[in-house]
Amino acid sequence: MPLAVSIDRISKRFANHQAVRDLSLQIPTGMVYGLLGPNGAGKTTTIRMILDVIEPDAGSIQILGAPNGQPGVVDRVGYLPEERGLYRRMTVRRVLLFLAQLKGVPPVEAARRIDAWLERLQLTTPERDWGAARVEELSRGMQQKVQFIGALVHDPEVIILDEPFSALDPINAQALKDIILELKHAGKTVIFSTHLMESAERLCDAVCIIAQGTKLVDGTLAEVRRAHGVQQVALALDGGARDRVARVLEDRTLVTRVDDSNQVIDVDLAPNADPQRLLRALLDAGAIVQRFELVQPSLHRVFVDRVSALQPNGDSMGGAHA
Amino acid sequence: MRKLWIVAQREFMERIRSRWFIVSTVLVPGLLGLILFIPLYFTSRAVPSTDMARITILDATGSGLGTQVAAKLDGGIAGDTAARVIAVAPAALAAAESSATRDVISGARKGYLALGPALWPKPDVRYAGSNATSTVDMARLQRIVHDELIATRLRSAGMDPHQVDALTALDMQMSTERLSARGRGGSGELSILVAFFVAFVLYMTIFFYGQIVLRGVMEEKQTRVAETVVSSVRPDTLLFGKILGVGGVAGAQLIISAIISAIFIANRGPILARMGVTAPVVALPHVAPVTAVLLVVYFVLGYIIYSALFAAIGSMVSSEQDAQQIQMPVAMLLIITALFIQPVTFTPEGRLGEVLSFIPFSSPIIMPLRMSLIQIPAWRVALSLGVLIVGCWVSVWVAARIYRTGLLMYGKRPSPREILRWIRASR
Repeated sequence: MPLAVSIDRISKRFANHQAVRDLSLQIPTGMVYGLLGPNGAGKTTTIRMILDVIEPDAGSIQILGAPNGQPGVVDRVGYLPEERGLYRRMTVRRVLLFLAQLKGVPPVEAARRIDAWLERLQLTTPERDWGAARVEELSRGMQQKVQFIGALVHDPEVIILDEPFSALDPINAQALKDIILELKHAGKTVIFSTHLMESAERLCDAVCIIAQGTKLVDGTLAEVRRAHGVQQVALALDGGARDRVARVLEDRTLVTRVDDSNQVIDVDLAPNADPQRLLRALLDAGAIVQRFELVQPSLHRVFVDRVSALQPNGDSMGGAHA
Repeated sequence: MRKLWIVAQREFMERIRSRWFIVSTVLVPGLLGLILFIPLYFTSRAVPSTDMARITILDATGSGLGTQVAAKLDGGIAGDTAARVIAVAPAALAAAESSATRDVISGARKGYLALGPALWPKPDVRYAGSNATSTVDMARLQRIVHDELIATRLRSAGMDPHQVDALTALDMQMSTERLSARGRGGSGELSILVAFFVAFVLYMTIFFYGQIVLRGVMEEKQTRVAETVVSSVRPDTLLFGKILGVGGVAGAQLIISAIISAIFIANRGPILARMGVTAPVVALPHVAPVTAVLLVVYFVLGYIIYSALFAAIGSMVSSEQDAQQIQMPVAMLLIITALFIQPVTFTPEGRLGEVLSFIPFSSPIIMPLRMSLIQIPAWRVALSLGVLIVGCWVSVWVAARIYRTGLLMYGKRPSPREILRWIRASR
């Protein structure tokens, strides 16, 4: 599969801290990709380097197979920065026309697309055409919508959203989620950074967790969970044969940890242990198995384990600025 | 290149549309009109006041000089409020003066003219009064006393009084005209006025539009729109586009102002007549096309050097107060240059003007000023332009480096050391 973004061993050092250290990423096209990390992990710096806003000290970045510094390459990318803002005194249509023209959309085509987007996001209603209003007259929620349009109006193949869900009201968050999925179905690549694991887990095909400017793990959601090493089984048994079952669960080649919560026994499988072998051993022991479910660790757990392993004192906030 | 054009176009269009553009475009020619017409109006209206008829003349000459002066002062204008002539003995002059002083202080009289006893070799003539600062009145008084002294001397030398009157009735005013290698044109005074005006407009325009660039950059940074824009264009392009766009606005404004002013100037005769000024139409100084072109070149370069620095400052700061403080060094360069406009106007050939013409921060204002006053050898103009172009290049280069780092940097104001690091660092 061709790569939407390929990052090859980039580093960036600011005056008194290393923002990104030897980071490599391969982001295939047509994916929703999550860039996860605590605050100050280097997510924004990485995104700025992808967009060629700042240059890496070392390493190189390719977008859709071309170096990102090559003219016209970043025009194929749409960007929604974390800190949003527009020219306050310009009218909405003129701001959007300006942003579209900067990305190389001819004015007439841009005007057509802007009108379509304004209608779709309910910024032109029978009562009022907000496209003719100045940006400063709009509510915050409306300004956010205008900003989405600005990032998408040139129909980019790669869309980068920096913390898109922060400071969004629930309705706009829902609208954004719908747009992200629609873009994916249209074959676009959506990359977004977040520190909210729930939204990442629900939306992403693949993720990368970074902290302190270094990649901790990346891959598809399944790969990341598998790579986390811990496989869990949720087990429920119906009475009898408890002694022999207990002996099976003490087999350290199969099981590392058992957490009996009466109704459900949570079992951490030993590394490389085959869950089928555990099931057979339980049945051989005469257990009546009511439930035997392989449970993937949540992204949240992966994230917390990985990041706190890096910072033994448990301070997952990091000290540096993005 | 295309993106530079789009950025510049946005700057230009958004500013042209705004209300202040229209207001200030009308204001500048209005100011020009005031500067050109008002002095003419007042000069033509500067008939001596009737104040001079309300003075006391203390005449200790014993020759009737005081009466002669009073008759001339009346001049048929003042009617019955004639100057009061008091003949005093030389010894009593001091006492008479102190009593006249009291009259002036109490407001009963405007002032007093003391004519000392000696007519020869050096007459002793003094005036004291509440209107002593009125140059028109003082000049008239001085002339009248001077003329009457000569007449009195002639009479005392035995000349026929009628003959004396005929010979001393002299009304002369010297007209002044500027002569340069390009030919003659305009009065000397007026060419100083025009040169001064040119320098002042240059100063105002560069300062004003530099401030606009600064505010524009600050706005982009504070609203965070900069981050969205620099994901599409390089910071350098955004910076140059802004300078170009705002420069276009300045150009448009100056051109409109120039056209309106030209219409005014071409019709200044009728306009002045309408204002009731009957003074002859003064020929304006002739400006050679080469000088005009050089003037534009100096303006453009001066605008670039300062607006680049102002843009860099706008990118450094996150608040209005910081902007006020940090821009001081750059603003001072301009203000100090403006302070030199006056001395250089009066001695355009002096060492000061010479030196300031080779400093890139002052030459865009001082050189056009000197060029509209005196002939400057071509090689000096070329050298001054060369230094200015190098200065522009350096200032734009430094500004671009500060700008691209500063634009996305928030929080506390950077220290000078940090700024130096930004200049050295890559993107």
